[in-house]
Amino acid sequence: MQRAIRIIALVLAIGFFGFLVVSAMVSSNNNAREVWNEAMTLGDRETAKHYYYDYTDIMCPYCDKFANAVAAHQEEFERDYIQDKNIFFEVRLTDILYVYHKDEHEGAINSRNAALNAYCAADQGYFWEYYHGILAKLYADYHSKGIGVDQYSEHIPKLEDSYFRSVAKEIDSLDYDRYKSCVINEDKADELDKNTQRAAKITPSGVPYFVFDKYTTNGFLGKWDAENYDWEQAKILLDAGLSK
Amino acid sequence: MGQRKIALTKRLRKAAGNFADKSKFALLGYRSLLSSWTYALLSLLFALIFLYILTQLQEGGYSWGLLWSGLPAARKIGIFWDSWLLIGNCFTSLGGLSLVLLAIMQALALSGIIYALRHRQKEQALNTASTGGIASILAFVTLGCPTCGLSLLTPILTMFAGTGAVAMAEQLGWFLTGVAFLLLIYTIVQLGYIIFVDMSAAKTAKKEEHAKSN
Repeated sequence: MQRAIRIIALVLAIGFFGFLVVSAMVSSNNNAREVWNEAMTLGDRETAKHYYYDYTDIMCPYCDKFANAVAAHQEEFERDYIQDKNIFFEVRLTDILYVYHKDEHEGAINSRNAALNAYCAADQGYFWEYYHGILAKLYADYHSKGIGVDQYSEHIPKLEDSYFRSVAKEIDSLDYDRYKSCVINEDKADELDKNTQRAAKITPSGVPYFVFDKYTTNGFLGKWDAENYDWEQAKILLDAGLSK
Repeated sequence: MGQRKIALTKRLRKAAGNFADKSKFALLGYRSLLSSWTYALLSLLFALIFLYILTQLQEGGYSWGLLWSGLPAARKIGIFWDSWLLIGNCFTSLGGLSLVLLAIMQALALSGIIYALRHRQKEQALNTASTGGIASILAFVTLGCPTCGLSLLTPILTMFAGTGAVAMAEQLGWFLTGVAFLLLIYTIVQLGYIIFVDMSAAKTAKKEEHAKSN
């Protein structure tokens, strides 16, 4: 009798955990066709056949693997996917890691600072330049050295404001003073907070979260090899969205 | 108060001593079990399967999701093959090696359960199996990358702790992994002891039978 109760309890426990995991992972995407920030999009929303959304955080290593792979093949990505397959693509940038980890380590603030800087660059229409710039810088300074690459590695320390601004300085036609004022005054904080809250509801399992048409998935399988392996993985993901 | 403390210390020492003795017998039991090529092969197979499941859960079931997508069959075969190659990554980091250890322990526990079940030790085997089962669940749900919120534990905790779930999952994850390891050690020692006793009894019976026939 006792044995039977034990076995039933075990089966119920497995079922309960399974149900919770599956129900939490299968979340609806009601506001999919709404644009969160026009500057963070590629493609024509009105005529697109496919709608792709990438919920991300600049300080999330798995998000960065995907973004770096796409950035390394930007021309091919825009030609073969955005244009040929008529895809509307939006990066939905959040500071979700700051929200999750702000009480744990001081480096968590990097997530918010990076996002605020990117939103301020986006305000002038230079999101992609900033986004690719900061990702390349983070890779060169930290990820390529094994820092901040996963949950087992050393955290990236709290970065100075100048670290994030140095990327914007490299963008020739950007109005740097206007951008700097936007960052210092946190002009985009409300927009960022709103988007992060929306993302947290859509993706309870964290970022990266990809909604590629009807195909949705969490995570990304990369090896920090943007040129080859990671791009092949990114293409599989992009194609999965087209084929369903 | 002081006497109670001394008594408790004595009891703990005795329990630790008993467990150490049992562990020695368990090691002997598993050594005998794995000297049989059938069980050695079975354990290896189980370890590989567990390691595959663990590495997949570590990646949040990313490859499994792609296998359910509308991608062509040829690409799915490639994805399936690649997902097995992920096992190799386990040997390059400390976290990965802990997965290997976990998979080996789970495989040993499962082989032990099969042996015990096949040798009329059902009652003990099933009681120990439930402890092993709990350990496996704990090991599975703590996997993922809590840094990005990608943990199987996170969605569960989100229901109770909102956005604080990720931080909680990271801390709780390490704790539960520790508990899973301890439960697995307990399971393996119990099963190893059962195997040792059973094999020793079988050997003695065989000897007696041999002596009688002579």
